[in-house]
Amino acid sequence: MNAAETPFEFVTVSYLTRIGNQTAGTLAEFLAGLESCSDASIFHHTFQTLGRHHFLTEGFSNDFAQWALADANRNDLAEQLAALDIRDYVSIAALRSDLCRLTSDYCAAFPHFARQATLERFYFCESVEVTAPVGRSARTLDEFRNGIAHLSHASFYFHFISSRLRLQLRTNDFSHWLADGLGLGTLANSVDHIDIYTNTLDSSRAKLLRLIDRENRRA
Amino acid sequence: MSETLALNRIPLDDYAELLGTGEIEELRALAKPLRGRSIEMINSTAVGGGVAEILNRLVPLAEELELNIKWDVMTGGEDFFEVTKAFHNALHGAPYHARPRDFEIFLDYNERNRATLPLDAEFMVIHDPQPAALIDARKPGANRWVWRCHIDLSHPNGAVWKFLRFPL
Repeated sequence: MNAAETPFEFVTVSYLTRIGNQTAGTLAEFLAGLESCSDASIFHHTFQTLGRHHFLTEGFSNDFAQWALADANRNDLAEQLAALDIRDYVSIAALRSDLCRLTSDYCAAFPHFARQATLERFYFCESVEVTAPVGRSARTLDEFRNGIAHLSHASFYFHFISSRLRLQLRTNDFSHWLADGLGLGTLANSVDHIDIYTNTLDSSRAKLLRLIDRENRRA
Repeated sequence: MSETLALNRIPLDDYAELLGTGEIEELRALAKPLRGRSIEMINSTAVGGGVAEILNRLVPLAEELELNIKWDVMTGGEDFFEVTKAFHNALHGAPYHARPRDFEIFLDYNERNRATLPLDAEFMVIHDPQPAALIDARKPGANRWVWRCHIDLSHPNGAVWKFLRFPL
């Protein structure tokens, strides 16, 4: 069996949400915040929802759109912000640019709404990651499969979704190692195409394991 | 006057059937760098109320993760709890006309508790407004203090919030 020179180290994680000093009480302030907040904040407000359990599934999946709807009462802007498909982006800068463009265009078209006070302020937040090695690593595809099967949701989220921020949305930890460590580019690509929007963490993991099983049968 | 609560052990591994062994292993991995560090939780009631419900489980589970954690409950008379109940409602936005005497009662009981509580853990976690003025016991650089407010503070009564924010 093919063995990687550099093992995949499984890591677990705990997230602390840090509320920064930037807040917005109007759409104009919101635009200023979008322009100047950290990349981690853009990522937090667009991707963190994918790592959470939702008892209620109403509303929009990114915080910016949800605030525009619920607190700024601007349904049309909310729909535009929610329609940005995070799967399309390969950089935070591009995602930020589109968020800013939509908000800026809206403020230009409706200047009276841009200055209107919102119901609640928007607080720009970031996720602070605290990581620890789980004590398991993988050099072969079988060890890798076994490790993934036993990961917590937090750890799976860290490697499969949160890693996209580190890797500038170009890939995820699993695909990165499958391609670089084991030379399994096709499998890496298939794993990267698991739809993080329409799948839960559990169903993403199940798909990933099935892809590995298919690769093993082929080998 | 104050009371350190002794709680029954809750084996973390009992949760493995529900959570899976992976989750339990990872909790232990995350807690490893904090092994032996001391934490003192302080609130105002041992039973009833959300904080007591949380700490009843959180403290034994943190012990399972080998943290040196204890839970102390501050004490107060009826007058103190009448004032803090009014503060609680006021912080939720209910109308309230605070009298100077209310603030005196609040500070007096906090001072008395400061004299009896150890307040010497590396991490002091103060829950809700009742023990908020214990912070006056903090010596710069000695330990770290966290105030965890379980009340929605989005529309607080201005006078009460200003009073509480001062020591914080």
